[in-house]
Amino acid sequence: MLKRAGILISFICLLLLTTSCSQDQHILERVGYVRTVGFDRENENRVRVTLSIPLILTEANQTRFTDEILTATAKSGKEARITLSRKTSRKLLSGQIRTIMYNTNIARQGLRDFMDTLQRDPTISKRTELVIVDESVHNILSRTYKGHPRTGQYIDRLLKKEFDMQTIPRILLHEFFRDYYDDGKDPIANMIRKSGEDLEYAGVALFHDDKYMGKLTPDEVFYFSIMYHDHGKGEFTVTSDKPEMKSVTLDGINSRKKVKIRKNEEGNYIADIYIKFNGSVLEYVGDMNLTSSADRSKLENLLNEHVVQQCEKVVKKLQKHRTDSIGIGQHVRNKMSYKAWKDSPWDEMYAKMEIRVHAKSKIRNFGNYYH
Amino acid sequence: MSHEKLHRFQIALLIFNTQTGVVLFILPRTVATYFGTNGWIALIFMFLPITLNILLITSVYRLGRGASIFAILKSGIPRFLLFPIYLVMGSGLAMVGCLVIKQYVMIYQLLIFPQTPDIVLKLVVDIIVFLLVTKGIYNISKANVFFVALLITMVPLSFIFMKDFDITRMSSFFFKEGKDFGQGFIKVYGSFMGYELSLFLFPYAEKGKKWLKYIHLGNSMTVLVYLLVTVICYGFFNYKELVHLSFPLLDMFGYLYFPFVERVQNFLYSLFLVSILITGGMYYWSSQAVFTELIPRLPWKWVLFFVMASTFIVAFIPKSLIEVEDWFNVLIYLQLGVAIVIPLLALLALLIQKGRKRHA
Repeated sequence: MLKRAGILISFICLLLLTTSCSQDQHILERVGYVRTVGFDRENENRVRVTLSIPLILTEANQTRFTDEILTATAKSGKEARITLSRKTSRKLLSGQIRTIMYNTNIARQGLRDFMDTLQRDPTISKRTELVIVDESVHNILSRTYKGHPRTGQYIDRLLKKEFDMQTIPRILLHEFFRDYYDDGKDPIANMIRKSGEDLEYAGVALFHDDKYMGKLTPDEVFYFSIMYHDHGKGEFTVTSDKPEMKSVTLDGINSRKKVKIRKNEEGNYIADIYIKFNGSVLEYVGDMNLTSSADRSKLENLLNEHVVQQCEKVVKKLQKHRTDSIGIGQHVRNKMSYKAWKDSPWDEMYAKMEIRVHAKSKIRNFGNYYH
Repeated sequence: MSHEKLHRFQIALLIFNTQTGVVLFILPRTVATYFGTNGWIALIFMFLPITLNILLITSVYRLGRGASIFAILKSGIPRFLLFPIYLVMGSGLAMVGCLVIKQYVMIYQLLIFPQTPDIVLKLVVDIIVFLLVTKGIYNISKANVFFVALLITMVPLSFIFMKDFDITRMSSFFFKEGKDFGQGFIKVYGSFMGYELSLFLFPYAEKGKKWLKYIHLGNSMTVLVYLLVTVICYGFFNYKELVHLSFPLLDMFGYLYFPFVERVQNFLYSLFLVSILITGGMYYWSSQAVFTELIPRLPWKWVLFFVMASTFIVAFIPKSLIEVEDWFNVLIYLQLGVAIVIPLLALLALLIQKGRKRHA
């Protein structure tokens, strides 16, 4: 008797659950999964929000792939979503957002107001890419690029590929927030731009707290990147006027970085960044013979010199913008007492700090060509 | 009573799984808020008072020669005094069980079913808990072995996070920028609660005193898991960010990425249901044990039914997660009461009993 009652109760509950959960159902054909969100500055206190939603339309026997582009101006992102939602036949969902893009005009004033919803909304993944663009985000998103995937997908795949190849630092929302909250490090983001009929990677956007301060060019990104994190792969090319090293391309870069902090006689902090890297030569144009170990070590020294020079240039630029993107502050902080750290004017100190770069390279092999 | 006995290892796992639960998702934030930089060290310090507390509980078993806690209390303390104590203890334990489930369900709602009423989700979990608890303590403990095995499979995930773990982020400061150590102590102590239920296991445990050590084992497992999660959180995020994350562990799970499945955190969070079943179930079971002592004539399954039904109604009152956390802040004191005052009372009862024997 009790058993039968149990079965009956369970059945009623199941019915209750299934009927009440129907409010949370999403029918794929009626849902618009936003893939890309873009923000432009419209005027003083309004932003233009652009959404890109991939659509698959099936009519009769024909299947069409397209992006639905929605745009509206509003005071906040979520307000815009309500306005945008009135313009589409689909229920807008943010669970599949892959890329969030900001125009530099917005980023310059600070992203703090926009960060709130990104942190609060549990449907927005912390693996979303953060992209800064110099031109209008709306213009980039609202056009199609011939010979490339649909725009939203194009941007997403372009960045993912670069992340995987480790040619650019992997900056997703998680990394941005993490460094934003860290008092010894400033966040960064990646940039893209239009280049003719295509899109291309445009360098690293440097932030101080939540404000965009400047950028590194794509050529500088490799040198920044080896100071920013350890590498397991990646390639880079060095060109110079020297006859010994007109051009070298290293592949399969493996690098380790280490930051050491010490004090000089005057009591100022000095940072030494040690970079160790190795790779295999893919291309070499120069008058040396790589089979000889003397020539090889000469080339290694030339490489070291070059890397040190370029890295120091990048560091100077970072210091000029007062953006501690490498996280020197974390290391200085860990050397200080709590009181000393809180009392020290770190931003000033950082701008004037002596930061030296030391590089040590090793050529693992020189490929199939024995010369 | 059946001849079946709880194996000591089962007891360790039971204690471990009763202690861990939703609290694991919140703990790194609690620790960061109250203890500040490198606050995870506080968890190690917490080990000492809890060990002392467990020793207090085990001393009741040793001195009482394995008699049930109710028998011990009855032998020395008059019934009219025990009645209100049992009433408060029984309802308190039931409320803990109820809120644990409520909290789990509300986070579930936030994550996956934003439009579904949380009370419906709670009803479903409640039914599973009811079905589990009515199978009796032996079967609960057997099911628990399997549940713990499921939960432990998540531990290797921590290796994935090692890649993004950086010790320089943890800073070299200790306990700086914390809010209120006293409050933090009570909150973190509260997150270890669950071991006090071993008080009710006396008559069901295997003979001898060997099993008492396994309460410590269960508690050590909890400390290790808490430490693992909190330390990783401190190096994966940083302390300042932790303060602003409602559920740090969920955010960390959210960063996991497998090529074959998106949004693993929803799946992993659902897996924690097995931990909630035991945490909620054990509190309801203990509450039932207390009330059965009060009303021995009513079959214990009916007692359980009434206890669960009445807490289900109370569960309508708190409407938000913050309210539930506030309720927990009050209930912690009751749990502390069960963990400290009840064993002390039992020891007193034993003393009185001894005194009486001597005089007799």
